[in-house]
Amino acid sequence: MSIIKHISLLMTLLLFSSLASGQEFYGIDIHGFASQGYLRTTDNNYLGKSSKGSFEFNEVGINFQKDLTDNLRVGLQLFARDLGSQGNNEVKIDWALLDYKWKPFLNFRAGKIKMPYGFYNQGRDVDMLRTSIILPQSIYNEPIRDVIASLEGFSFYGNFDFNNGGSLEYELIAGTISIDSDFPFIKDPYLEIVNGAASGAAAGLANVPGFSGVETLTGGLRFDMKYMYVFSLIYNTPIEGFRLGGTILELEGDWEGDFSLITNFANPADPTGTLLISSVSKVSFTTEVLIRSGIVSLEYVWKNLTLSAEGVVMQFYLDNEKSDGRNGGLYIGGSYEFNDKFTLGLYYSVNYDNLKDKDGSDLPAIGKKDFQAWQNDFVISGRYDVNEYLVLKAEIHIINGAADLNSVDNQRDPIKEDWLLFALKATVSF
Amino acid sequence: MMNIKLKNLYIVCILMLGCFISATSQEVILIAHKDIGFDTIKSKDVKYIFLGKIRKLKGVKINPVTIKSGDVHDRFLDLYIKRNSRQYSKFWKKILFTGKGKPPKSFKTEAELIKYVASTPGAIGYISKLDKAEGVIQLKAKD
Repeated sequence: MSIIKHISLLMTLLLFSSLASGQEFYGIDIHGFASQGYLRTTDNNYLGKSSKGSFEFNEVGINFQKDLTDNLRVGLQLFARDLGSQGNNEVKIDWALLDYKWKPFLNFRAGKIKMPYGFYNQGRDVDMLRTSIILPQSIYNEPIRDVIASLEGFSFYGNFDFNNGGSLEYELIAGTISIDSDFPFIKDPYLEIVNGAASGAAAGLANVPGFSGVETLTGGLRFDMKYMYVFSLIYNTPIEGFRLGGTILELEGDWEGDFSLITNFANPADPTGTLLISSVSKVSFTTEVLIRSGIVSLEYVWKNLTLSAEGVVMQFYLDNEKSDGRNGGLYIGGSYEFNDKFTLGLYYSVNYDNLKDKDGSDLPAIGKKDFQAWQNDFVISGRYDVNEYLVLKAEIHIINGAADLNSVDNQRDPIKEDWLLFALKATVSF
Repeated sequence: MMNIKLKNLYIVCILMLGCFISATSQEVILIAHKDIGFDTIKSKDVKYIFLGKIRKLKGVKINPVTIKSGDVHDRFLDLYIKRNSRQYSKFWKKILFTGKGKPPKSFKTEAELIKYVASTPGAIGYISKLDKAEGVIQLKAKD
């Protein structure tokens, strides 16, 4: 997006901030938010072309809601975002639903519904809800963000009150979601397969006389999700402000793709290396993917202090075969509101691509650095609430490891193990 | 001479303490539409109503309303909701922007809130003084 568009967005932010809170037309409540950020890394490209500084970091949303009866509500939120190659400000329906409230312990939603996944996934698009700019990547990993954002289906939810024993909230949601072929969740591993096939072919043909290299041509790619369900439980303990949670998720789908390898040969007797022949071979694959994930969460809010910690484990099955290792990670963090304006936040997050190979000792054999096995992220965030509608933030990430770096954005320069990420963001809501 | 200075210091301290107490213990009075059908309410139900967790009480559809900001708002949140005003605002923004509901209607002044509660069946709100509140009843909170 051009710099002019970013300035326009900033102007829109300022305009929004001058509006009063929420508008109502003909009984329809209208609310919205917009944010613009900036990312810069000292080394490595992360969440876009960050090593040279990236303004491709924004979110805009507007929602409309109306109570049809005492128990029935309809609503819709339009949302667009940009984060490096993700989103590109394409406007999508974030959620659109019918919500029927029957009893405190049993209610029902149908439509496109925001997904619970840990304590903070449902609100992750809304920057002003938290102190940090970037959520802990051990749990809220950006490449899978669009997969776990919302689900088209049904949801049952409710709350059981145990008087002095606290209360229990639950939500069961099931359905499916369309996944675009450019989602990093399916595109990054596809590109790794393509590049791996090219490297393998080149290694196999290296000693053939006249062999001059392998080129790749990407083809079709799609992921047909069959189903996904998520079950979330939150126990609000009798200790005021202290809650515990658990989430389990399962999704299954077919991952299909094809690509072409172009193998080039030159006349070995010709010193100029003029191309003699090219061989094109088309490769296609279909894999049934099953993912199971579990998260445990806890949060304690005491006066102006908020502490939280979460851990996740994710297991992949490909064509019913359990993959060798499991992804996993955890974080621990906190924030403190010094006054109405300023909040300081800290968190430490660590995640591993494979919990059985935390030190990355298996990675050099497949051409990767050992430090691509993990990512340690120590984060300091500052939040300044200008008023109820406008929030400014700044953040620094001190990172060791490179598990979350994608190969596409980091082809030109060798990746570094120790690096810093700086982030700035301005958000308005009304 | 020393005794007079000490006495003056005591007086100043007592005055400051008095100011502090009056600033922090501002009264919060729960009010409701006159036809709501009950005049006592559990503190826990107040919390659940203003967090959107219950919508009906004793068979009556409840319509909670708040003051946008100020001492009575802060005191109400501290007493019943156990959150500060920023935490309460963030709680409702999360509900609002994730499709889970809408926050209570809020008013800039107590006069506007009283007028709304007086004219809206099921409405519940809070104010700092009862003397100008016409057309509403006071709700007594109990644990």
